[in-house]
Amino acid sequence: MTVLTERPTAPPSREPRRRATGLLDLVTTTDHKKIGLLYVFTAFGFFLLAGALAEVMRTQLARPNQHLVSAGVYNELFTMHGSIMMFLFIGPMAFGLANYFVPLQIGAPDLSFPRLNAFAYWLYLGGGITMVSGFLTDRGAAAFGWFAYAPLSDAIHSPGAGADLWIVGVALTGVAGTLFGVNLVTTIFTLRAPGMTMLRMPFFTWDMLVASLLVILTFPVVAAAVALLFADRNLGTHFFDATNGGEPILWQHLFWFFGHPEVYIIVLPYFGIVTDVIPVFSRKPIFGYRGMLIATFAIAGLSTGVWAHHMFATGAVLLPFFSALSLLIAVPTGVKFVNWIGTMWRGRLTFETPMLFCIGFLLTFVMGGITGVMLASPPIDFRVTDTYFVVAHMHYVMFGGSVFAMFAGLYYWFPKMSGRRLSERWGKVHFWLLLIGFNLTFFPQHQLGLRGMPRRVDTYGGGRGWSFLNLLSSVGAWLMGVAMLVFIANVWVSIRRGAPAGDDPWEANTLEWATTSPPPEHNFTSLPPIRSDRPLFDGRHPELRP
Amino acid sequence: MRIEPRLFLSSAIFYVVIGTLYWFTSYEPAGTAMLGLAVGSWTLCWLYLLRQRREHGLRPEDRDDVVASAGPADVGWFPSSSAWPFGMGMGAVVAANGLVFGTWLTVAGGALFLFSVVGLAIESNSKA
Repeated sequence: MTVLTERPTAPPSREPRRRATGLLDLVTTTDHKKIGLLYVFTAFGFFLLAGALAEVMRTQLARPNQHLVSAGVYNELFTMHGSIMMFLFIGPMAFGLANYFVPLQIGAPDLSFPRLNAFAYWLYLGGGITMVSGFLTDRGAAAFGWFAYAPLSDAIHSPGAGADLWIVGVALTGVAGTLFGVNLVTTIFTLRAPGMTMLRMPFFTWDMLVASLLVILTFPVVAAAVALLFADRNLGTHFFDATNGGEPILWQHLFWFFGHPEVYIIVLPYFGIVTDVIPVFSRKPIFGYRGMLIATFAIAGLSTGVWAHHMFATGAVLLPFFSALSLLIAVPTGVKFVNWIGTMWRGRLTFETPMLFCIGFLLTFVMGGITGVMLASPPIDFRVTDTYFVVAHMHYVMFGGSVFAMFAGLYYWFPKMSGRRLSERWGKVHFWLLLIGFNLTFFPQHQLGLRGMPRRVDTYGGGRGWSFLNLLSSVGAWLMGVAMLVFIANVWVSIRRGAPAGDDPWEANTLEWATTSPPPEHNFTSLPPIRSDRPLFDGRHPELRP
Repeated sequence: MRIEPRLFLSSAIFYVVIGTLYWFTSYEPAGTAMLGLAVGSWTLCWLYLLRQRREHGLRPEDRDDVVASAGPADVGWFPSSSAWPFGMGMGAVVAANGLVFGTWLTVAGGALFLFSVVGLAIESNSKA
């Protein structure tokens, strides 16, 4: 590819040809914005599916001794709930937003490899459908938990096609993620606009870069691991089979070497959204750009050295090493919190819906962080591992960290993607329902865990002090379901009848707001001069230009 | 390319430190192997970017003081539609499902995949 000094903007299309429309356009498009929207809608569809599975589980657990679904089906439900959320929703949702907004944020016409981008999307969609299609097989979907521990996941304990479909699905989405990661890193390295130095990039772009590097490092490991598992199940090998000299713990090492960085792969992009949104609604530059950056790198680096803190209870891992590194992650995360709060400090704050979701993110994520520090300490972990305490912790991290910030991003960027604004009033209703519902669902689970309720039980007897807390938790889950309906209705109405947004409804700072809403093909017809990490602010206030 | 190679170099150094520490405290081969491979892959990326930097020097996007003027310039060919990625994707998915449902599916999917790869290659050959 030729890179010239005078960088621009839309390269002239060489041969204007008839544009496909409708379904054919969706199937053949290589425009990063359309593929981004495909990712966002697909991932959101999987989110609703996995959420529906969770509602069934919570309904079963609302009262003691309920048997809405059998124990076997319950195992499928929690396995697929976790797998869909982890592999098919939260990461791909970040990839979708990155697809749409990273090229816009750095002033590029598209991703570096548009057709590879489309290929990765189709692999992801196909892999997702493959994984979910396990429900249609005669023995049902995979039922061994989303981390598929050996020997439970072998051919004897988990027979049937559902488990194999799960393996194939994980491998396909893993390959798709890797391809997308390579594409995004190349884009960020080679397609930035003139003047857009690395240290002027918006934080969403930075965090997606770091997350993509983690993807490139760890997704091949999980793809290799599931290939070994597939060979064990179907080809007669014994990698994880202890009776024939294999090593079940090896699966846990391989899986968590992917699995823990995965937590940061799916949290870092959402950190990036929050870091871009908070300065806009505080009317201040981000507090401590470099500090934030170093914290991001520290989190990413440390996250690859802590995988075995999921394996404390095996007794086969080095406790001090993993405990110390896990505790250390709290430091850069704390730096990020200081920077977010420092950005808001004495700013002219306004509380539009994206900002509300950012604050919801700060409150819930810090809670997950605190229980994370507790769990990093082996004496506590031994006491509560595999109880609902861990379930509560991971949902505070994943849902509090990722989903709240995802909604911040969706509300923030919806005007850019659709050209219309979401209703602020219904956005606030959505926010409060979700915040209350979320805390009602997951806060009692801390206490349930401390009272000894193991995770993944399909039902429980009365008289153990679990009943009321479980009922609270289920009521919260239903409330979250209502919140989702409010959001869907808001999108449904606003996409048709929302107020026109204009190019820059929020008076934002970064380049995606310098083009029309929605942006034209190849994004920009002209770019503002880029002199800082806030080129649009510089344009609005030339008197302050550095 | 000022910061890009440094990202990979510092990552590689980080994994050397962590990997050494891990090996000599645990003597556990799986984790050490993965950390070692991380060192290898990041070193490879670092060397490649270093070479790019030697050959091309500082680009406009590395410099603080350039202006994005709207002159006509060609950044490269960005196709806005192509049917081949869909064919590749479906081929790969069908081939992978063949691992569960039978080899004939793998053959059919693999054929579709290869056909689409060739189509894609010819498409870029005529336009890039």
